[in-house]
Amino acid sequence: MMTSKASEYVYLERRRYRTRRVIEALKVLPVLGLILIGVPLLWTEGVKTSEAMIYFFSVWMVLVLAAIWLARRLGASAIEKTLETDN
Amino acid sequence: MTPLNLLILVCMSYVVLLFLVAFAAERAALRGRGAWMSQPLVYTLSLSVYCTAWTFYGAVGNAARSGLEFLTIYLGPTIVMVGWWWVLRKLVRIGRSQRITSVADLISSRFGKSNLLAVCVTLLAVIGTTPYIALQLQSVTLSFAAFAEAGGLNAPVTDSNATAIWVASGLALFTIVFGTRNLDVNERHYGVVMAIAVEAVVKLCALLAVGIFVVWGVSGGVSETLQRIDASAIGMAEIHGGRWAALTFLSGAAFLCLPRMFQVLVVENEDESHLQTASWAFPVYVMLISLFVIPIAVVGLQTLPEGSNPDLFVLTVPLSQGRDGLAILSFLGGFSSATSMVIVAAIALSTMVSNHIVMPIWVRVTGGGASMSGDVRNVVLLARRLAIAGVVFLGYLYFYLSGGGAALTSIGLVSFAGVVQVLPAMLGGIFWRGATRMGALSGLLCGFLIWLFTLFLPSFAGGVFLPDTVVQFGLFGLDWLRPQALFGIEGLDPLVHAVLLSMSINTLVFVLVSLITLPSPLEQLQGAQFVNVYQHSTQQKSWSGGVAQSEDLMVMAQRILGASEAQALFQSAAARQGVSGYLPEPSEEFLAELEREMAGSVGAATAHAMVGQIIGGTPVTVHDLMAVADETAQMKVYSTELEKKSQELARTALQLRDANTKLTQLSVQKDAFLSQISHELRTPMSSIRAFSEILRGVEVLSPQEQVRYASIIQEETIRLTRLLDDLLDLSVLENRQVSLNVSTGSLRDLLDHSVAMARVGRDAAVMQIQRNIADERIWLCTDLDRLNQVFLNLIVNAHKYCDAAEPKLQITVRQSAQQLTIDFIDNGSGISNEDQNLIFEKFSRIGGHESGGAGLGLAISREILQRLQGDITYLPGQNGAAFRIRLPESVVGGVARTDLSSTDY
Repeated sequence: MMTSKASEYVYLERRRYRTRRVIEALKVLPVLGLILIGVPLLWTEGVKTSEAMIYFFSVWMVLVLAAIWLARRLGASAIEKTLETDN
Repeated sequence: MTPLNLLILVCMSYVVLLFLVAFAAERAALRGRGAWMSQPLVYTLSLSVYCTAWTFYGAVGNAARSGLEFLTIYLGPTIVMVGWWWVLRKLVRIGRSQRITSVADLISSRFGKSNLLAVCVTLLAVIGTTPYIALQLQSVTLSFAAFAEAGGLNAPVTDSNATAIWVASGLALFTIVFGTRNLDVNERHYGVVMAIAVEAVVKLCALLAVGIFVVWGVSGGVSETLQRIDASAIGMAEIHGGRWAALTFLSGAAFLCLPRMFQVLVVENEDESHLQTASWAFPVYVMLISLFVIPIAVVGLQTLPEGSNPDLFVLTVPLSQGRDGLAILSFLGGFSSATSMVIVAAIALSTMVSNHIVMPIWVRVTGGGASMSGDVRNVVLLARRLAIAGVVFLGYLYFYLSGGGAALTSIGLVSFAGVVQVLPAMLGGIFWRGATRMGALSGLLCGFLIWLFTLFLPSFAGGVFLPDTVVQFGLFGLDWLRPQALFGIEGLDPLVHAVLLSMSINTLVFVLVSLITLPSPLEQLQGAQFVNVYQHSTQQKSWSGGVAQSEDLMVMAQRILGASEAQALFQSAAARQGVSGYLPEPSEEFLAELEREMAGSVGAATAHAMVGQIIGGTPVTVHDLMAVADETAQMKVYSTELEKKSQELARTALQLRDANTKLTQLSVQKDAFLSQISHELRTPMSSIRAFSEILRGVEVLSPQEQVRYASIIQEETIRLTRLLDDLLDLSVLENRQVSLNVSTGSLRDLLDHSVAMARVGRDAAVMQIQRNIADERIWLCTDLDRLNQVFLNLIVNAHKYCDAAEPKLQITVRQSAQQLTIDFIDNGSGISNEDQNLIFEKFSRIGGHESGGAGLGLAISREILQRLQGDITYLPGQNGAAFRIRLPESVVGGVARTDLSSTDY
């Protein structure tokens, strides 16, 4: 009885811990996006439009994939239940 | 059938389809079968209202002119969506918990339900959106014209106004039918949202179809297309840093602030978790939308004759390739973009106009009470319908007046820059509790005026509003008031200049004014609710009810919410309170809920005013709050006092306990003293008695014996007298009854006197006394007789107790700034550690010495020195008994002392 309770406790804490990390990643993601989008400001000489396009769409894909991954990790119930008091 | 006629037919069918979709969605929602419409996908698609005709056609045009810059328009919103946890989540939560109906409502609610602020935001939104609506109308007419041209007809140019008016009327009709069909408390429009979602799919498909055709149909594959891009006029990506950053910021900010975006993002949001899906799905959508923009632009630039309008490449490229079907699809895409934008913008603006301009006026004019005749519900609906028609008509008017020329193409960004003036107040409002109404208002006005002057007015070519001289030489001829180089900031792109200046001054003023002004209590309450929305219950503390009449509230609520909705609301509230029937107690909680529900229909400020009027004008006033605050403060003071008192009691108890202990000790001491004194008195008394009995009883006594016995009796009597004298002296000293006999004299004389007195009756050679006469040249101003008593006692003690073979007494005088010390040190065996603590006690005699003293000398000395503000202590470690007398500096007669230094004694 005691052990099962204890393990449940550990499990919950672990999930909570994960959720918090996911939220932190969510907060960092737009910053990363801004930096990546800002990279072209550093291009000193002209770049071929096709290469620039490939760069931008790659950045876009990375952001989208990261957002998908984080949204899935977060789960639908996580926002409502565990994080009411987080912010 | 000519392409144009076919186009009109397709167009009409499409409109009918939209009506049907909207109608079906409304019906399904009404019958409670609308669950499938509450999908995150529908929410995401409805967000695509961001992509208007300006972006549908204009992105390609923009790409053809300035390459990759068009991407910023999509990258900004992508960042905002990806970073939904920061802002959007909070906005949506606030929107849901406070029943926010528009941007203006959000700002007004946050800053104490200020209607003035709401009016300002509404006006700003109308001014910023009207040109945008005109732009949509223009795009539809232009695309019609393009088709007509392709069909060989030249007439449409003259008909452009007619086209525009047809489109405008159709849109107004659709919006009125589906946008104001119901007056929902949640302000959600299922029909409209569904239609928008369908349109989102249409425009995406259209653009993708044209893109695929261009890449694989015209260019012949991906790598060929890339080569073609590099070979074209926009082959080198030239990124203008300032514009790039400004545009990304602008589009991201506009994504939050545009009335239509706020409508779909926040107001129409069904479920917060939809944001999670939209956070990646919307970026995917805009990525797909922009995927083929560059290829279409490049192919258009290369295949179409020079001078063709690049804004219409999406349409003219398929047309020039003879793909009429594709062109019609493309036209539908543009048409969808235009219509969805106009519909949502009109709904959003009409909500604002009716809630924040028409309703407050109506409430004021009619006295506002629900008991007034006339159905509020109808008034609201009518106001909205008129507002929709008005907004669309304004758009048309703008289109008509500006001539539908090229001037409009730049208006998209100008409009963005206008509406983002709301951003500081919005973000400040939801993240900073210190933001105040005055701050928001002044920031908004400053930003608005700067935007108007630096961007909006100059955007009208030909000096329609702003004469060219002003643009060139500044307002009133003042150089630093040039619109495009305000305050002398030159060399910037006009757009960057305007955005930078308006936003920074807006933010600065907002922050500064917020810092120096005080928010009203209602503002503080709302501020806390907004900023801490995650912690706070959704309940709004607004009404200190109790006098409200539920029936009146019911009447009013029915008129605003509709009879059945209001009855359901009241019934459920009554059930929660445990009251049967329809009339719940007007508790604070219920009033707040009712106000929130009504805010969904008429806006927070109006709802607040209406409830306020019904419940007898007892909204939370500053007065109430101050009373509450007073009460709290009083309670605080009271409890502090109690605390103080209890602390005091505890202290007193402690003091009493101490006193009790002392008394007990004293009583013990008194007993000990009495027994001691009895003992001391008894010893001489018994010897006196014994010898006097001998003298009386024994008849034969030699005269020598008689003399001896009598002298013993006399000695004992003297001892007794001395003891009694000492006791009396001590008692007088201890009771502080002694009055000091202050006189002046030299320390040296005093010591001389004491030493001489101590030697009376003793062999002078027995004890050697060492003194340093030079140190003793000190004038004292104190009770010299008492001091002499102390010295005498110490010297006599030394005589009595010093057990050295050659007894010596050293008297050392030392003067420092604070005190005068006189040490008496002999060379005897001294006093043991245990005894050192006792020597100053009464009747303490050390060791086996039998010297005839009563043991009161040192006790008396200590008492005397205490009276003289000095003290006497035993000085251990001096190779003998050592006593130190300390006297305060005040006893030293300073004036006399200087005389002394020259006078040798």
